[in-house]
Amino acid sequence: MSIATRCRFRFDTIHDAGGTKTAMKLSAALASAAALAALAAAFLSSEPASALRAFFLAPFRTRTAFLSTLELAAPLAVCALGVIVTFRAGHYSLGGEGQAYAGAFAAALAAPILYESLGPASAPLAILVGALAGAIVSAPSAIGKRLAGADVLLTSILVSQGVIFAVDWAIGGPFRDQSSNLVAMRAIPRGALLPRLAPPSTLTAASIVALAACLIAAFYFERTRSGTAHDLYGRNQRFAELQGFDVARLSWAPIVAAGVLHGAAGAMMALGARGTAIRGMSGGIGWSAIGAALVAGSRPQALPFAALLFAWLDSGSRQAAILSDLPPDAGQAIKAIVILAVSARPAIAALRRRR
Amino acid sequence: MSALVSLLAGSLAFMAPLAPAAVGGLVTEYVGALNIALEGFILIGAFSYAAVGAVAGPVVGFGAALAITAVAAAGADLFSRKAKADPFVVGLGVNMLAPAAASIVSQSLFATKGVAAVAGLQSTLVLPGLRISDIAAFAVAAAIILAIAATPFGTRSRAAGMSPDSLAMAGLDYGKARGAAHLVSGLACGATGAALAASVGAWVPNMSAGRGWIALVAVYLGGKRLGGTVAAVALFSVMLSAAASAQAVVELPAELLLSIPYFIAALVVIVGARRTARRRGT
Repeated sequence: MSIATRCRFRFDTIHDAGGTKTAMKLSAALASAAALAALAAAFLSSEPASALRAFFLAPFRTRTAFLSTLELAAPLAVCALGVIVTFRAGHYSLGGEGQAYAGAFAAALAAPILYESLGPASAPLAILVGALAGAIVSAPSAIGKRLAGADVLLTSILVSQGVIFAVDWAIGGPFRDQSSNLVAMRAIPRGALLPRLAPPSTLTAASIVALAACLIAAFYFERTRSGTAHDLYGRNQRFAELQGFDVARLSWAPIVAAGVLHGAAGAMMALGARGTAIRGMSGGIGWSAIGAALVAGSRPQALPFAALLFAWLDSGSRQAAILSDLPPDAGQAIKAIVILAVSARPAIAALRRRR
Repeated sequence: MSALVSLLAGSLAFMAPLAPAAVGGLVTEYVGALNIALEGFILIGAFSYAAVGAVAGPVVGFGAALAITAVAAAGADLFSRKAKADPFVVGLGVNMLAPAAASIVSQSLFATKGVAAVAGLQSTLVLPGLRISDIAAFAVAAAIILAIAATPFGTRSRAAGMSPDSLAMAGLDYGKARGAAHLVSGLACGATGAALAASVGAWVPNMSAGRGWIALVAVYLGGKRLGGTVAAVALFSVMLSAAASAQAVVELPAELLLSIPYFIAALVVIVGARRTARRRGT
């Protein structure tokens, strides 16, 4: 039995969890994240009070800090949307990391060139270039699935790993800005970056695009025939075929669509706060995105909340590492434990019963 | 001739840490569990070797790597079964938690979250490209192969994967069979991690470098059979060794050469799937 077939029977946590269940998941994630953050501050820092303040308050204390946290959430939400698009079609693509990294690299490469000819209008086109790069990285998995029925989980992770090495080389080699100590490409001209909406915060139009994408996806899955076909294919391919849906298209299109979203997310990172492509900049976004998608119960409308929760954990742990001595990886560890916590069904069921 | 010897020696060096993880992945596959956490368990093994080895020496460090990783793997499976958590999601959590937790503990133990070199932990070379730790890793892989091929453990594991209900009818507990398989898988990943850390005598963040995924792919490329998995591991090892050796001959950057085996492996997966589909007439 193939991985996808086995997954299809088991991954009810990955299909649309339903409204109430999703709200419970989000609440459980928030409660466990807050409890774990408090525990981390108490046990991993020699200045627990400062660590607690920094973790819980610093990301929200000022308007600038809060808006910058929103900006952190935007690429994660778009990337997680890509995860939902593939997982709800029953394709368990794990290639988000490489696709986002390729998107960031392609956007950073294209942005200065496009800016020379198009001026400030170049940013949306640079995001499209990033999205295209993500689609190209996802193409081998899509082609393999369509023509050979190859397991997407295996091909996507292999291609992604290979692409990460290749992009590492490109950023650190021929496209490296030799004038900088950072292993990064040349800084993108300020005018080619996504416009800042509320300086001095890093908030850009990416957050609006991310929110719009989540709402459009929610409409697609819940209000359109194509969305129904997409979901049905993910749950039972044979049944979707018997219903007359275009299963041939569904065998590859969601994989490419996810590649587009992952690539766009990477481009948003390069054209947003980072201002260029930096070696290793994807920093686990592909994996965090799977976690955010699970916390959101695979519902696009819940994604902005899940992404914001993860962005708070990143921002809070970073602030706590700067303002106290909390290890900076505490945020990543908390995210992992939150994912484990929300995957435990009896705990959520017990919470629902108590309600 | 010397190039061939160098290729073979390099292949053995790549194969030593890869073989136990692949065999460990096969054991969990036998019980019908997709173990995507191999990557995280390898990191746990590598860090345990460095952390315990720094205090008690390499031999105890190797043993601790096996034991700690086995307990972690069995614990993750127990959590998955008792909390009815999706094994895929638990695996994802393990893969995210292992590097972060290692980094946090590394800061306390080694006062760095980066590379922590420990004097006396690098294993001795016994043959070109082959260290004592590699031989120990091969021994662990061989012991597991023996266990799954010639003991009731192997038979029960396969039966558990084929039909959990039949296992129950025979009076055997599916949960126990699955737990035992994960324990053995943890042992295997511990050996992989320890061999990796022993080859450089240090803990290096993310030193598994995708080996857990390659091991999982080897299981599937090998048709989830013992012989096939070992053959797939040998193929990957030769490819990785060829890519490493090519750095001295071809003027291609190291990262590009290292990316090639992954692309070839993806191609092999697709071609293999195509051939299987043709055989089935679909």
